[in-house]
Amino acid sequence: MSLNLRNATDGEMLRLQAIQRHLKIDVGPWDEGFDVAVTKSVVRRIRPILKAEEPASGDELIEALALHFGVHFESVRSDADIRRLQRHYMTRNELGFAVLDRELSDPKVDALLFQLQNPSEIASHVAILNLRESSDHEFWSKIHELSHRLGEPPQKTLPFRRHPAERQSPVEQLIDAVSSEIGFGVTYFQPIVARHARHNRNLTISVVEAIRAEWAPNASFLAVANAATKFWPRPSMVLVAAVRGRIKNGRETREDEALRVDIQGHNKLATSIGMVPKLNWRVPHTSPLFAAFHEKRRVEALECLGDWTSTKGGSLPPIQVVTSASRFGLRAYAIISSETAAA
Amino acid sequence: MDSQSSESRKELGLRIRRLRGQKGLTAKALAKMAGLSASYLSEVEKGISAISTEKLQRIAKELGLTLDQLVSRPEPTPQAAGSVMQIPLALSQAAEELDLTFNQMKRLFGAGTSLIAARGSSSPGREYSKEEWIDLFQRVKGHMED
Repeated sequence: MSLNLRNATDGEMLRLQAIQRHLKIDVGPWDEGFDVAVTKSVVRRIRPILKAEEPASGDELIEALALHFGVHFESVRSDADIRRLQRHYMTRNELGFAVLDRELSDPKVDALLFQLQNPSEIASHVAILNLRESSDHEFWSKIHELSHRLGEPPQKTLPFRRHPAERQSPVEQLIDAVSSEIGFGVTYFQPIVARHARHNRNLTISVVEAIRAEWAPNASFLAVANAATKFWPRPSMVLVAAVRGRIKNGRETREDEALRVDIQGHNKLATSIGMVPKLNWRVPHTSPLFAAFHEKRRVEALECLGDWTSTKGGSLPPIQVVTSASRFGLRAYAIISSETAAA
Repeated sequence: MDSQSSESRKELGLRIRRLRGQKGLTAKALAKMAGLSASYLSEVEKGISAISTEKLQRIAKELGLTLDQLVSRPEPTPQAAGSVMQIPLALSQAAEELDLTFNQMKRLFGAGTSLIAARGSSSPGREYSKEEWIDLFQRVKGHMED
């Protein structure tokens, strides 16, 4: 994968080049594999620390890295927290916190990272986690803000230092790639999934919950489910279904409303056997996912994927799978896995 | 080093833990190498227990450092060290309009640049406008001397 630099600003390009210099890597931001090179470099950088600290979970991993790299976390759960933090840091001459209320007035902002003007040996950066609407993203936000610290040099170039990042920003895209490896990657997360896979034939909601409890209780269920699916050694997928209408000319309509696939993720083994439904496919009445949604209960049962069809004639392979499904609010989640390894 | 304050003990402990981490040594391994108990080293790293110069020397040796290197504070960051500043045009304009001194402008600049990342914002990356620098000044002026 390469970064999408089409709309990159000069500031973003400078920042990416600063990351390249900081990590001393040969490929540049415009090269294929820059994100991989950056990720590998960061993982190499933290490897001795994690070897020394021996974290047993994602939370311990965060704690160890935060301590080593001087990042202090603050949680905002109410407007009062914002006022408290503003007072606390401004009385310590950290005047940048004057904009905290303004920055957090945008509910889409999950987290902010401040580089302290008066750093101490204990903390040079403060990450503010906006948990007012939900704390589901707490784990991911911590990993993401730490990854900024791990991959980027201290900010000292000027016109671009204040940099609210949009979701498509190549810097944020790059930091997401690094975060993904640290938080849910091959090095630390995959061994946990592999251990669970030795004891369970199928990936189910209960297995995902066990992995989540062990690795990162503050991570969102869907984030853990997607990551566990990716590394599960048998064909598996995660589906989120909701009541939606048909899509016509690329737009959702209210026509023919039914329980349909809203989001889906799958592993490479699932792809190899065609176990990949398209977005907006109807969930068949025979599926445990359908039952979980309409009966508002957790269902775990065998189903034949051949029942999953589209009006355009598409269908899933007629293989038997275990579907584990549960309803959450207006949506239902299913984890579907084949009992046998792909051919 | 019994006179170490709680804060300096904490800082020293953190420094040992960070240096040990850079070497990839577990606390148990370093304690063994330095002839200390693992629980004592853990207390030192947490800033709970004070440590003698002699024991510190043993730790420094195992980490491949001199005692001085172990106990010295790290170099300040470029920001704290006062590296060369490139004042953005919008800030210069705001400073002129507000009639700020150089020190005030410098502090305002530091305040405006300490936020280095915002995740999830829908607004594109951009610089502060003159008006935003003025707004920031209004927010921080009560905390500024000079």
